[in-house]
Amino acid sequence: MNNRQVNLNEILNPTLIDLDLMAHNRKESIEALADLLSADQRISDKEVFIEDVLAREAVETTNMGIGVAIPHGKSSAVLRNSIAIGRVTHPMDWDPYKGEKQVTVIFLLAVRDDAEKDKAHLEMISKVATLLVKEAFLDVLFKTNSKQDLLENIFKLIGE
Amino acid sequence: MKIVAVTSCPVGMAHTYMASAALKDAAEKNGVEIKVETQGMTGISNAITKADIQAADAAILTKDVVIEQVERFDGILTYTTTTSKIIKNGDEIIKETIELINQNRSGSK
Repeated sequence: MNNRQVNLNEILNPTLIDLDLMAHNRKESIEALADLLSADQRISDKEVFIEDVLAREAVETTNMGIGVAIPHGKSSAVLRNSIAIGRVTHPMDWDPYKGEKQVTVIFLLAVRDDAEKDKAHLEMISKVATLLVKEAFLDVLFKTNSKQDLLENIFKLIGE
Repeated sequence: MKIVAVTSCPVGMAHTYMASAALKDAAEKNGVEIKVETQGMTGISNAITKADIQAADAAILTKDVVIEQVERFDGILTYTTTTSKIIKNGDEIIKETIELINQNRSGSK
């Protein structure tokens, strides 16, 4: 299972992307993206999942200081390993870490409690995260108005 | 000039790999060779060997969490930082490491 071929579309699809996310802070962002995961039946319990995500936030902020935050939850409430992507119109403080660069894009990473059993999914999620240090990708991420365009760029850049 | 590096973070899902990618990009931009070991949720990848360390001028190590087998780097010039700093400014980290190597070289002459 570890070396099986994984398709990106197992963990990310257009219903998990919202380029006009209605959120003004960290909590609202995580909740809005958890709603997308819930609607696509990727988490079993939204409250438990959010609690686990916020527990990780408490260790260290996931505001990367590049306009992007990557909250992540390894949680018993996750049914299928997933990435949800949101973008807000107005950059926001990723509270309570005011002073850091404001956040415009949120990548919410959701992995199952037993995710280690399926390395292929974890490796795919990590690979997508590495795109966030590529300026060319950030450019698309901040500017595109099309989910399809964003997805195509992700597919292209990770070589699928 | 050759640098080895180890990246690691609490969950081992994103920061570890983003920092690795940022270091590789910055090293290429600054014309130095780099090998980055990642210690993540899926285990250790691209492990730094004894030979790698012997051939290297310096090591960049992250301190978000205690890295495994950190004693490997006992005898080598070390630059300690965090994955967040690398992700935010990989270029600066590489430049500072190069400067450290140059200072060390001129100091030992």
